[in-house]
Amino acid sequence: MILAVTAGKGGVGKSTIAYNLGAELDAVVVDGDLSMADLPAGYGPDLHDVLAGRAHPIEAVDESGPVRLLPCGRSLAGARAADPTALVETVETVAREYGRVVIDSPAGLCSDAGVPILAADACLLVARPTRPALAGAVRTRELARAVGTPLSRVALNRVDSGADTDRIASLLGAPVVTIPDSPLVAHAQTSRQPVRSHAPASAVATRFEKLATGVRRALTTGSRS
Amino acid sequence: MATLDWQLSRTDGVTLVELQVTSDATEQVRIDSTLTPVWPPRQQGVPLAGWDDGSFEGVVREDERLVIGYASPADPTEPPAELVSEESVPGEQTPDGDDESVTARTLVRTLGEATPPRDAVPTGEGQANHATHRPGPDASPTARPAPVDEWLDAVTDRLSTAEELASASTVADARETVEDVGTMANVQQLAAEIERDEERLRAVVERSQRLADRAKSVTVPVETLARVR
Repeated sequence: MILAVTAGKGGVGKSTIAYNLGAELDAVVVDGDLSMADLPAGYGPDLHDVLAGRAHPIEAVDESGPVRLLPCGRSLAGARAADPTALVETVETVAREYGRVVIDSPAGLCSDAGVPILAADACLLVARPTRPALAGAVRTRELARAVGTPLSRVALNRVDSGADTDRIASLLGAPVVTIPDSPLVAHAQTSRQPVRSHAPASAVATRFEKLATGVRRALTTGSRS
Repeated sequence: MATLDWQLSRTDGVTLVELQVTSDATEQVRIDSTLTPVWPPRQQGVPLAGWDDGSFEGVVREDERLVIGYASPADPTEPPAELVSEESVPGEQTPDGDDESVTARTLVRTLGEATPPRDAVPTGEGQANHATHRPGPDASPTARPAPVDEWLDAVTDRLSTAEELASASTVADARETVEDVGTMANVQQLAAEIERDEERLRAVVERSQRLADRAKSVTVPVETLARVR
């Protein structure tokens, strides 16, 4: 199972959601943002090395943290040497070995956003209940449609209250799961833990769980059709 | 029956190949270049549809020539390419055969390359200069002793060379960078040195951290000692 976590606009919490979803689904989280990596990197080989043919995808998976990560390098030279089209085979190899993969994809409509969506069985669209974030989400939705990858869920992030989820669901054509704006998410991130380990009983942890259940359900239904 | 016609020209160490395929019936052709390596035409950094390594697959129609162009650093040889397989095309097939399915390559071609432009990537030389422009021994309180600086500069030089070797994206680039280093034996030696550098650097980081922690926790009782004396 390969899930691309994507968004039309940066800064909506894509990486946070990808990381926490990785924890919920016991998946390897691949930092697919080749030019602006977000997730913590270790000292081993990274996605740039893999996409440049210098390392095997499996040896680049870092199992030392609470969530398994395939980190991405941060150098411009690394980003330039990487072959973006090799991402498809890379994530498939990781999925064969580990079962589940969550790709933290870059925002936008360039090929670096399109290839992770193509590589995935389904995508998850992260948005905030704001006009620019939703406008971007609609464009990314169209991109996913053009690529032929189904949209499993919309994660509406940092919602205080009263977001019109029904309208957003019909606009984007997938069920919406809201994630409350909670300081626990940032606290968990500072302590390098997913929310489910940092604050297991919290409301926000149950929302991540619900999101993971939704994604899992969408993928099983999708594979039957 | 398809026939192949070609023109070759050589400029600045690069052979430019122009192929024309004509046929009296519509058929699928595969063309293998005899010149290697092949530098196929690219769009957004990705070879055009139909290209796969050193061969091109496409459809030539009875009323339309198929024209293909590519480059190679190899010396011109005749023929520069061979028609390998020819099949007649049943019905209306698209020239690339893959118009229906989206591939990573078609995505990069249509949505655009997202990699940073070549000019944005610091060259090995630039990095070395950057290293030598670091503050000198008396420029700041964080200055390092001269032998440490010399060692770090040597490591920086080795890393710049290694990065240059690693970032060569074409065979010609790779050859040139290897020539800059010397021979393949020098390259192997460099690889071994870099491995050692990494180990040493990490050991130094650990030891420096421990020493810095000790330095932080100890206070020399200067005033008390002065009084006692």
